[in-house]
Amino acid sequence: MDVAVDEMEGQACRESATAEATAIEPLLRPLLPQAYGVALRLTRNPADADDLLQEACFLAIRGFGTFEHSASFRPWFYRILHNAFHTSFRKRRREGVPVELDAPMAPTLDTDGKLTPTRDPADALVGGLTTAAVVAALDSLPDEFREACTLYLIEDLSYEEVAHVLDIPIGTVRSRLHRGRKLLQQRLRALAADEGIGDPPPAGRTP
Amino acid sequence: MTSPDPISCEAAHALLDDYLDGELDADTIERIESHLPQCEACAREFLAEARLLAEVRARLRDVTMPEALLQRLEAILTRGTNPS
Repeated sequence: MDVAVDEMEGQACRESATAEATAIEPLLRPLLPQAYGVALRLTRNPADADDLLQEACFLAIRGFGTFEHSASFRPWFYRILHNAFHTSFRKRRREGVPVELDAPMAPTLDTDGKLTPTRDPADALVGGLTTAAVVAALDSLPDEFREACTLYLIEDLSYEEVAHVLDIPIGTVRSRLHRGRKLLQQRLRALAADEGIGDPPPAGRTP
Repeated sequence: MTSPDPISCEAAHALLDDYLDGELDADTIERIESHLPQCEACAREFLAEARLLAEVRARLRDVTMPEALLQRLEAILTRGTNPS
């Protein structure tokens, strides 16, 4: 009798999971290629990225009943992925390279308040960038900057959507994105200088 | 029709990221876009940053999901359970 009840309950669970999977499939499938890119940059490891994305898909299917269809699916799914990353991969994470966050990046202004950049660091970098250099630069950022920049740069979430995913105020998102991008540019410039591309980082700034 | 309030180079630069990210209100966008044609240095800075942002995005999206993972995920999406 108990065996029969267990079997019926198991069958009901499988049918429920299949129904949720069928319902979520058209929303989730188009996200998978870029979600893999996000998972890869969060974990910085292909094997962990595989595991993280699979876990996030399971959790999304199981939790799809709680998704409010008036809301956007992408930030809902990425919040699940981000939470899974912090829950399951926290111990495996490598910390980013410590940086001096107050390194100045603004161009100089002349006495009339006009912008007078002594050079054009962003322009010097474009064209010489490799995928490996950009990945290395992003991977080297401290976690809070790397996570915000990953969601914004790869998945193109808005500030508000990144705030939802990371569960932080939108002002904090803005700050992390702005500072993260400045740091990313510093790292790229340092890597480019190592390759003989563009100018070296200016003295006094953290590479 | 009135011209938008002028914006300084310093103020424009402080809004550069928000501008490129599409996070500014229409009035502020108009002030910046009135400034750029009149200021070669700012225009160059904004263009360079936009190009770098686009390049970084393209590089970070240059990732191919392994075929084996894609097949596992498709199985999950078909059945809702772990195929392994």
